[in-house]
Amino acid sequence: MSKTRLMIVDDEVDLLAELKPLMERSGYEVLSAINGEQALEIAAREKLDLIVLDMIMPKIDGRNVLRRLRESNNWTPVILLTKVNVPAERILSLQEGADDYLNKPFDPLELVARVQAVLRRTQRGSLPLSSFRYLVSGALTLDRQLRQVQRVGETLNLTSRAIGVLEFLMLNPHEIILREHLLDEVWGWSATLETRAVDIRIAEIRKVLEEDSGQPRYIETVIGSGYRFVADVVGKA
Amino acid sequence: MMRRFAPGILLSLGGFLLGFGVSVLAQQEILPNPVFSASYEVDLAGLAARAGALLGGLTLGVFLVSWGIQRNLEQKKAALNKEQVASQQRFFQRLDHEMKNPLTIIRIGLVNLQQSPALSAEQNASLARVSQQVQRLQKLVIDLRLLSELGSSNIERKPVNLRALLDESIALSGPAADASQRITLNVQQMPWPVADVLGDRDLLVLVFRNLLDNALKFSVDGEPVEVRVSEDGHTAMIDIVDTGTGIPPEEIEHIFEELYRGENASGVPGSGLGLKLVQRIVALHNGTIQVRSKPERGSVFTIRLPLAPETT
Repeated sequence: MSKTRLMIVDDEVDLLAELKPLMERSGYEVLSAINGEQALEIAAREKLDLIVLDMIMPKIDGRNVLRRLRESNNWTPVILLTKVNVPAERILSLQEGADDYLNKPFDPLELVARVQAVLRRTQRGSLPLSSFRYLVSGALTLDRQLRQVQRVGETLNLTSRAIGVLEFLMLNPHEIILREHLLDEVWGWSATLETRAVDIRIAEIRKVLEEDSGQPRYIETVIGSGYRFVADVVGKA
Repeated sequence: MMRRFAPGILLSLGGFLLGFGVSVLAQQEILPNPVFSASYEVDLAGLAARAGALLGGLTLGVFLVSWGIQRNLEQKKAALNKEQVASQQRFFQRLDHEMKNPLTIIRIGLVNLQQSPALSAEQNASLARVSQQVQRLQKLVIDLRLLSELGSSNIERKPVNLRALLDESIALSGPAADASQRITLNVQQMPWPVADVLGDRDLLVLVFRNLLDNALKFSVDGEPVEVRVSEDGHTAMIDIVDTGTGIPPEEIEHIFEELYRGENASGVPGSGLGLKLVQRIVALHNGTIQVRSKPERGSVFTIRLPLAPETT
């Protein structure tokens, strides 16, 4: 069986030089590109399983590369490496078709874990949940654009961070999501806040959804690590 | 502001009233009118009214001009201050951006080295120390980012219960056993419990954790730290009191500056951004922070936060 092929795109040569051996040791074949143009060329020519794409690059930046890939109907999973940690910015990246994103400076082993997770959950050619406006799970609908959650037509009263937590869990159904990961995604201040901030928002969601934590319909606690959205989720445009 | 203009206002009002009074008295013929002085006939009532009006008008004019100048100056000062804050935020953003790539590369390089076989124990220990220092730098970058990103647009404003908030902040402060043994929390209960404040729970936890961590760090092991909470119907007041090393008077005005480390802080771990973050978050909540301190006696940090409207 041929190795899984990744392309890493970053304008920092030293970053490529360090990231390549790390990914190779993790069992991947690695191609690299030092700018957006080269990345688009390689993506058009080679069969890739995943692209790790830096957001800030001269000429064609990561977001533009992503947009052009999606416009040409190339749905190779993309993990964006961002330096801007504003939630709105990240939501926009996901809406534009990124499958995941990681903030610099990231834990290198976290990148390896994310690559594995994205590869597991995306079947090549199918649209990722992150490309849809609505996430639907049974009676529950999350509108990612309006930042609203509805249950059978009734809008639920949730804080913006609780909606952020629910959205991230729904984007990654059946996967264990670490508290630290949620803090990084939704708050963006992971090292400054305590993971208990996440528990408080989960409690808020459960209360509004009238969840029984002993027999959860939606969010399950994974003792010692984090949370998992246990119901199936489908995307709706 | 009003105090500064009080003499002007009083003078103009006084002049006006004096003129009006003399004029009324003259018309009522309590004061002789007309008054003959030398060979001129003077209408005292008319003269007094005009003089009073002139004096009043002049003082009112002076008051209005100086009020205008003052207002203009204050507006310019506020604009300058706003520009300074914006420029500082831009600087932090750039610094944060510039530090991210090198830090990312160093971290990946470290993992590559740590995963390489045949490292001696000494090399491993050395790499572990470097990793720890990189973590420290990363904490600084994250605090810088938080400082540069914190604006009124990205904070939540919901009623927050102060007791629950402080219980949580205490539980998260310092080494857990130490914090729970040393910190006492005293929240006003009578005649009614302290009302909720309006704010961002997560950021407020950060504020009190930072202050409590400092109180624990800068006092001798085992010395108590006290948290006192009260309210006056509009504002909640939270005192964080320690009996630690205190802050020398000449350092007080600098402690909220970015990366400022006082003499007592050398050797005590910290990013140098904690109090700046605290000050910024409190300001975003329309609150204030004050500090009173005596060297070798201790410090009191007082935070005032507006109460949530529906509970006042």
